[in-house]
Amino acid sequence: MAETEKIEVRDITRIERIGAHSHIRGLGLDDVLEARAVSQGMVGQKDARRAAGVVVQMVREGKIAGRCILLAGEPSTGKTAIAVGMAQALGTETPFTSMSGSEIYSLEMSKTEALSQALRKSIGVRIKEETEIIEGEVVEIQIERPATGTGQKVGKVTLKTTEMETNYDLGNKIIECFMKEKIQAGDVITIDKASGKVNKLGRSFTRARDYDATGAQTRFVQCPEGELQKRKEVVHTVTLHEIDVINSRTHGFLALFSGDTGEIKQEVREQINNKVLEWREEGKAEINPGVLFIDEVHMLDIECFSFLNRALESDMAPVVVMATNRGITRIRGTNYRSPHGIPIDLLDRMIIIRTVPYTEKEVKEILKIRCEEEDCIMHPDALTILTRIATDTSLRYAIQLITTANLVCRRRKATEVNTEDVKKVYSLFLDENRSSKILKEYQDDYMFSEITENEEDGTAAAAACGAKRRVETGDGDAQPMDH
Amino acid sequence: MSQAELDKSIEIITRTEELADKILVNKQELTVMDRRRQETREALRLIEKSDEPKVWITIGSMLVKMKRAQAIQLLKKDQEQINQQINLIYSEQKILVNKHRDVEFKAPFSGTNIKPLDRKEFDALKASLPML
Repeated sequence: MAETEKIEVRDITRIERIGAHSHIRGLGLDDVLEARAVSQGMVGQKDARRAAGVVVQMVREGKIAGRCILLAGEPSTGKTAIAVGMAQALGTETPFTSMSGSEIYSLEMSKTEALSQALRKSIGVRIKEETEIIEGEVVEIQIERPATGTGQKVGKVTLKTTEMETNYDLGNKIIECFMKEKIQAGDVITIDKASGKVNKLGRSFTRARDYDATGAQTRFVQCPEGELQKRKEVVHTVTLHEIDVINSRTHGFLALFSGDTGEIKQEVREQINNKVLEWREEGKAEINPGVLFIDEVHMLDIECFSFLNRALESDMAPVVVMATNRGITRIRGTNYRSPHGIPIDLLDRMIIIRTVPYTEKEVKEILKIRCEEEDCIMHPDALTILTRIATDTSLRYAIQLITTANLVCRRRKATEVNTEDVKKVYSLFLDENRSSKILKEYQDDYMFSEITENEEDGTAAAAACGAKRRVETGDGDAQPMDH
Repeated sequence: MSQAELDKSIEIITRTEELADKILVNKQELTVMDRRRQETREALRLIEKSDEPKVWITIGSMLVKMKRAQAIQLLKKDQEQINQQINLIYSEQKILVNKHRDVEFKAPFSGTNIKPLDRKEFDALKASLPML
């Protein structure tokens, strides 16, 4: 039966490791695309979220291809968080590929190939599969074997649903399928009419009491309802990259000679494009463009940018969202400086969303959400101190302190983190400022120390040297400009 | 709530309930049609297996004895008719469900307008993409 009810299968008990952005469930916008102050894990940053909501609408409508959006802002202003929110808001149907700028530098394939593959992975093609299946509970099976031992078996099976019952004569092949699956009376099965495949869904609930002990694998399902012979339509989304890969695999012994470089030829890609367009004309497929998110886009070099310029103009191009926190930097591969490390001609094609640093109230909200996410009960005073620390040092450092303070508090057998725990952890783990101050003071005692008078190089060298560290830092990113 | 809003709510609810009712009636229809389809198929098999020149067959609520060839022809015609009916109900269902979703301000379910792929094409895809 064509889907009148959508069956959603979700894992209730899925244990996840808590990541830096695992608390984000969406963009937190209401029906008119206005950002709520605290919603779905997102706090503040209203303008950027609203703009992201507009982008999500654009992608959902699917009519606009090849747009480029840049999320630019200071470090720790929620750029990656907004991208994660967009991914959640788009849902599982739209392809969302997330990559970091440095990922394209792989030894296996060239940069443009890696970019092409990433772009093709973000375009989905929707196709439909239609089958007629017979789904019912087995009432009885009768199989007659010829007395001579050779010759065809004949059989009869009676299937029922809650509303009807019928019987089928079985041929030899399907009897073999039945015997292979070890189907007995009381099993709920589906038979694919076209291919003749038999699939056991489980055992019927009404027959659960037949035996005292059943196997470990036994699943119990309800007796099917409605008609026995149903038409099943399933809609699948395949990405263009997957279709590319199928068609470019060298089969058989040719692979020994040519070797699988992992690169897909341009002719293959064009053939695939033509075929998909042909299917679209015939109404057999729908193109579902998605989003490609490139984080740290300043790591791409000038060749990649020129390639992107051209690739975005094709009509099979997804919406590309980029994020960077660099200011006016050198473009990789050249000696020229340009805003965000991106050439001006590509910047011209982009729409830029700005993210601003958080206010103190927003920081407090974010820390509260992270405490919930990391399962940590915090006393309000401790939270206030943590907020002060966050505004003085950085948001990331404060988030790192949450779990560490939680562990310290558990060690003294209490459940609530109080100010003492936070102070203890603050003194144990240094943030970037204190660490670089200490380095400047004791620079002569460190190995290979090359601190110069220049401020900028000072902090960079502090990250470079450091074979011996007096106190271990809690967070690994003691770098000047991180996201 | 003002009277106009109440009226509007009642109008929306009546429309959705009407459509939902039609959808459920169609679902029942399908079960009935399928039962007839299976019975016709069983009857056809029994006649083809037996050798008698004349067979008993029910038309409506009458039992009639007629020649084997005629009976087979009748049953086959019946089968075709039932299959056509069922196809009609399926397409009607899709339209009704989309209309229902429209009245509830939801998007039509994805993949409505796609024609299904041929078996061969789909099997080829399935062989190479295990996730399908």
